[in-house]
Amino acid sequence: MEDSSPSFSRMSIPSPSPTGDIAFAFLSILLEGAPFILLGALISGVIDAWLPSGAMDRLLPKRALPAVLVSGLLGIIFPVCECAIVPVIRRLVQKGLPLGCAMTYMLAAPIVNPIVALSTWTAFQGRDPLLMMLSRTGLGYVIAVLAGVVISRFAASAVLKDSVLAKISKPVPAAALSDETIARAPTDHGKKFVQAMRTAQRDFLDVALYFVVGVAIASILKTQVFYRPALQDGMALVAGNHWIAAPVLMAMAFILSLCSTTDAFIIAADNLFPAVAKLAFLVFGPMFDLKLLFLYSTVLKPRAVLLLGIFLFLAVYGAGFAMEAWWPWLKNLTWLKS
Amino acid sequence: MSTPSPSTPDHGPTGGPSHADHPHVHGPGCGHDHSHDHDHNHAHDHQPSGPVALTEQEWTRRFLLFLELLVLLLWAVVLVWFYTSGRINHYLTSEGSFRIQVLIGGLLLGVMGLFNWQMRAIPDDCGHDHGEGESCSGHDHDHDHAHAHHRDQHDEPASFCSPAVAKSCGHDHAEGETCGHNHEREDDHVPPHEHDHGPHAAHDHDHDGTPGGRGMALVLLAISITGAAAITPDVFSDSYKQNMLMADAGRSGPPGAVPAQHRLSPATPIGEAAPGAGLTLETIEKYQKRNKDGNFDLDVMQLYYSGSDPEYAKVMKGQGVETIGQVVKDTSTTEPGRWRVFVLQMTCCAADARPYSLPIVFAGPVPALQEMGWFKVKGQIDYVEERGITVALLRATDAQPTIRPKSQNAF
Repeated sequence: MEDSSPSFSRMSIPSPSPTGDIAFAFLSILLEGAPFILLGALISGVIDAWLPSGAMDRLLPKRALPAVLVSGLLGIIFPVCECAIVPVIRRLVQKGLPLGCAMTYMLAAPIVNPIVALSTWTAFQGRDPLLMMLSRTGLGYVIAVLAGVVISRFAASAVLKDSVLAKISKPVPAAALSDETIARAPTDHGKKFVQAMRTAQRDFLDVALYFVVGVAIASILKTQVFYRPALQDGMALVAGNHWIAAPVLMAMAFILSLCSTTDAFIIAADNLFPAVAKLAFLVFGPMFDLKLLFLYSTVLKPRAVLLLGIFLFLAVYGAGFAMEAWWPWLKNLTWLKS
Repeated sequence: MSTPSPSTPDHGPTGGPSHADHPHVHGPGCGHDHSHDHDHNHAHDHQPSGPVALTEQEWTRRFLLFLELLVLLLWAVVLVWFYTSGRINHYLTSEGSFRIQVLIGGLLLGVMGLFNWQMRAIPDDCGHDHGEGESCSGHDHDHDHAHAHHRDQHDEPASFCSPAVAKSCGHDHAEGETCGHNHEREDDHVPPHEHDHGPHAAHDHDHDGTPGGRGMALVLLAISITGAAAITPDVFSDSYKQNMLMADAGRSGPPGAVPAQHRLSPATPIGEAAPGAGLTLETIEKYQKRNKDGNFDLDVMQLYYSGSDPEYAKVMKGQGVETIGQVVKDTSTTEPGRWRVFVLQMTCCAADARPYSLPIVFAGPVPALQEMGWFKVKGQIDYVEERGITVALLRATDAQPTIRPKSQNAF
């Protein structure tokens, strides 16, 4: 306790130790994420109680592709980070939001949203901030849409967890939503409130469980493995290799399980890795990391989670090469130089 | 089983937890069809249990709900305690609203748990009063439920709740909302049966958990947060910090633009790279007070970032400064008397903290520095080119051991 401030040394806080490092990292991510999971659960409860089934569907274009394209932009209107979005998505799927649209929204929202764009731009000041911000947002959008299009070709029963599947409600045909039916809707908001709170509690506990497991693993890897001196020696070598620089940073994003509003600050100052590898870090991380692996498991079948992860990895990796080819040209565009 | 009776839940008081034991446990609202044939006529008029003897299943539900309450209260206590004790300052940044979110989140968790416990007697709409706890659990819902009903054979748990069905059901839940269960199967019931499908929430519980599984999950949620809260030292160990510092050394590039919170004087409007051309020492003195020795008390972050702004570098070069951080020998050079002073700075939470350091060079004899000790280092700030980057470097004259400051985001 020598190094603690006096006011804290009175409290019996344990001494720093490897176990302490895990607990400290674990708790800090937990304290950061739990309020957002609760927020997502509360939104889910409200959706459950008040949103008519299929309402989302009606807001979206009728045809599949335009609907997916629009879903990828919903994050601009409802900026939600990746922890809060999972319970919301689970509920929306059950409310009849088509699977492709739901997955696109889930993958895109943590990237294609104004808060994250601003934090990326801020973090990359002095390092082509506008280019990085736009390419992150653009690439995130394109890959989320691609994933959505691919997923929409699968049957919901092949992708969704049985427990989620069992509760999907069929969208009400638009015609059926006449004024008359709306007028007959229950007006007992007290009961709906009870329903909303019950759903919120259940969703919070469901999602928190997976979150806790994901965060625990991330904390162990981060504090016990990631910064091992032995691992660092190869880093410069890896960073200079154009085939493996991006995958290494993607693996780093996967392990670190950062919040999408934060990750740009972590990677921006790195001088070792090329900009395009950082871009891969910034696009892959918010779509698929350790905590998300477990959070997605509250919605998707294990096999679907795995395939989604592989798909996203390959998509980001492939896109990285395209971006690498265009990067010098993009860098020289005067309007991107500000 | 064919006459709906107002007060007797369909499954009766002896309902056991498994399908085999009691095939008819759930009523219209369970959101799934069961693979067995049965005509269920549910008593939709069930009342909130009240004094009526509770079924075994209801006891299980309430027990799980009680466990949920305990877990939520535990989380609430930990969150609120970390906030009110100030320990939260070690975990989350003062920027933004992360800290207050923990307090609000903690309070909401407690309120939510208590509210749901208070409302435990309000029936869910399965036609019997099992709740979200296990209700329809106790049997495995992961199977494909295909119900054979008399009239409408629906094989997917979907179309319920459509207005037409709602109408035929005569009960008052609305078209789309939730339900997540098939009302079509209420074929037998007499149209005017007034059952109230109020809180549908029950149906959205995970059906993939047995009561035992649910219980285990709740226990895990409880011990993970209390365990971590009990053993966390509120700081990273020195060996971990050192590993991070070494990993970072040689990797971090130029600091980049100075973040607002680390500026020596207020920023010019966002988007302008450099502060106004008129930056003078007087401007900085307006915002950074000199201590009794005439030195500026600046933190490591401010000094680190001052190197990236030519205006600051020009004005500050040679000024007396004091800063507090942990010191380590600079292994990246053979220059004698060269150490580094560093702090960990978080962006949002402690887990995303990364080390920021600047070199300190003692012109004279090096004081008794202790590796990884906290020191207050005094000297003149200088700016030098290293590896093609302008970096701030502290030409130190003195270093005194000190305690870890209660700095807002650095530790």
